[in-house]
Amino acid sequence: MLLSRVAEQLYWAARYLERAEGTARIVREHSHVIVDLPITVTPKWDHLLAILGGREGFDERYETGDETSIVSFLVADLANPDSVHSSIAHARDNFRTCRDILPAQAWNAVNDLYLTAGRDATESVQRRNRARFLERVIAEHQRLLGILTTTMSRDEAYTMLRLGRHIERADMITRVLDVRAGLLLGDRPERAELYDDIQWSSVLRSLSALQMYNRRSALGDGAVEVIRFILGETTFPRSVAYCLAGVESSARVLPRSESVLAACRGALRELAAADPPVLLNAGELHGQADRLQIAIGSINARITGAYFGHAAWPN
Amino acid sequence: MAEIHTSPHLWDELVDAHGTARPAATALVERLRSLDVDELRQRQGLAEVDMLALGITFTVYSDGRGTDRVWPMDIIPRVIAASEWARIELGLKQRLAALNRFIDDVYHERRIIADGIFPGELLSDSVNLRPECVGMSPKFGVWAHICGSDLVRDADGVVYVLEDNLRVPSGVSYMLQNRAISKRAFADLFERQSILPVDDYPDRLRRLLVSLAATALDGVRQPTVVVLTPGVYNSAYFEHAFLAQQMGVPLVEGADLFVDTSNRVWMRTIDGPKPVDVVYRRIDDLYLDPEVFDSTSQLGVPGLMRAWRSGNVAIANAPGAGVADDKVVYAWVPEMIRYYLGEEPLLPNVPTYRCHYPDELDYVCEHAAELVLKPANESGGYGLTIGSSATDAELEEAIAAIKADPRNWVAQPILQLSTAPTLCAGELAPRHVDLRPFVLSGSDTYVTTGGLTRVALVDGSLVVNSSQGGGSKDTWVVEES
Repeated sequence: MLLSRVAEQLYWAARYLERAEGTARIVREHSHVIVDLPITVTPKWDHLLAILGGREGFDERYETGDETSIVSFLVADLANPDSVHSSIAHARDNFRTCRDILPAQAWNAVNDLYLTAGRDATESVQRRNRARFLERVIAEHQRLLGILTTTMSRDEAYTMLRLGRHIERADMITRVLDVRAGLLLGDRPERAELYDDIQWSSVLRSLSALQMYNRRSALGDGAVEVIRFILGETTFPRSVAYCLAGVESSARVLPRSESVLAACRGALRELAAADPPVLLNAGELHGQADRLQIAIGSINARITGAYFGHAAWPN
Repeated sequence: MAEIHTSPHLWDELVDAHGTARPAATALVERLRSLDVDELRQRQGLAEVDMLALGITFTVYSDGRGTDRVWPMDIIPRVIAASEWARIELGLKQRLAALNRFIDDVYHERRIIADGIFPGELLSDSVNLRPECVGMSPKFGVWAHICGSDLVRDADGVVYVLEDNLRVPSGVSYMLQNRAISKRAFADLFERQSILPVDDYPDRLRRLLVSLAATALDGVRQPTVVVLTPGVYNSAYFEHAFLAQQMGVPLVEGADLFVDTSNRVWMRTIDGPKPVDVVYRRIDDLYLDPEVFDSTSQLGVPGLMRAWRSGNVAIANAPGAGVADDKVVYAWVPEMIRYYLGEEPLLPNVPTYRCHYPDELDYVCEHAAELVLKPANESGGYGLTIGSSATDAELEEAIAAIKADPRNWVAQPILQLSTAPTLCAGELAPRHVDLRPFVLSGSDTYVTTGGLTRVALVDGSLVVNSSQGGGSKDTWVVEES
């Protein structure tokens, strides 16, 4: 028995938290790789806006797209609804309205994360504090996931959290691939190929996928393999294939999930149709990422329609 | 070494006028005197860190952002001897039995009026009388299932009932949390003496609520109980969520429920509608059902009163129970006890002047500076004027308000509320306290062990409400060895 309203709160709390962690990983990796690039390659901080969205909101509030402004916007700015800080605050608001069904420790963990963000987010804009803060966000979210995994019954509430987490992660992965990989495959400055390995490693690292990629059983190197791994590696929890499988298996245990499952099948078909060698063309890659995002958006719409709020309750 | 200060002429809960520990507080007082104030402050600091980490907060929305404040708790407990508590417990049970008989009578024959004990005209303009409830007969004859009565001790050591909160009393979660915190702060004292536990409250509450379900359930399905909250913006939201969590029942908002044309209550779940049998509502009568009461209310459930009147759902506290939660009706509780139960009251009322009566009104106007002036239907300490500390202008304003609407005002002598040593700016200073025990009434009656001790943290202040600068303490009911 799960109230529709609570289901929605949980689903979005999980999405917000996953978004906070994903954003933290991406910003951390970008800050890290920038240092390795030659001086001739101007660091592009606004790639982060392309991945994480919010270009318009950013332009309204900041004059220049420099590092400080962009990191501030993406990490600390409460006026940006998708910033790390905002995401954590939203998630905490949602958890607060679901406290009755969450393990008490889970609330404490989210509350800790919120207190940490309130204390340190603004300071973290400076490089010397940044990695420590972002890693703390990642670690505290991991702690929360540990608490949920080890103390919560596999009930509908847990399933809603799992659903939200996988949807958000799948969406985030497609956006990273679209922007980061697209840049590597598109028009490039001279001698940029010298740094391709660094950059492809960086794509993997911003998804925390490098280590597992290196250990993979498949042979082959380079861009095709990276794209194949990120899209289709069913054993790796930060691949699109794994996340969509997670969405599907979550939906399967929920009541009245036929429409959601149909949308899942659509997304999986879209994924199966992806052919990594073809995707080496930047335009093809962009088109593929777009189609996947639409498919993921359609799953989200079906979830909303089936379970949440007034959509599910015509009276 | 911490010195325990007291005020002359006031009763202190831990030590007598000579500074000697009261028998039940001996171990605690010894411990306090063995520690220095810095160490106590350190324990206080740790307690506050714990509370923030546990999210034991209340939310202040006055700044528009919803700021969480730590529930202000003083770690020095207040101690009551178990033998004294046993008498208070009996007095509260007696009181609630009479109050529930009174409410039931008001909505049926009104024998107490016919017999000339209670003036009927007081009901005619009672803001808490619900004509919609006339003729209803809730299970066990109980209307006020959950009551928080406020007790105070005067300088002579006598414990009085100050008021009975029969609508949606709050604070019980803080009673439970305070115990969790004080077990950490004074762990060793719990081992050395018998401090009676308080932790069974949520289980008692759950059992009470389950027992209220209509007996006509099919016998297979367990009754479904929900806690109905006005939502996250309510200052007591923490408590609503806490109690739902502790009882393992859903916490719902009005929009989560609906009533069908057969007058049954359902909740909206991801698996379709599920029936609801018992609603522990934490919203006021007037917001319960826009079909019947405030039609603009977004908090309630349209049709809930229909469902209740049809016997399809139990509501705790029952709608209309607030008719006895009125500072004027309060003045008749001793008479109710004699009338309905044929017993003498075990717990005294504070003497109360009823402005409804011209002679008592005259007395109040003449002696306003020596009295506490209370509007009948405010809670949380709002609208209250303490004559001795009010300015002339404030007094005149209050008297004008009373004369304009005398039925809705009472006045009481200014009690010298007892004090308890409280950690303030580097010393243990006496601060005024009261006590709110919680009483559960159903097929039988349960009283919490002790209750929530509220403390006026400001020197000399008599206002203990958390909304107005009050804090709380853990309450130890200790068996004397």
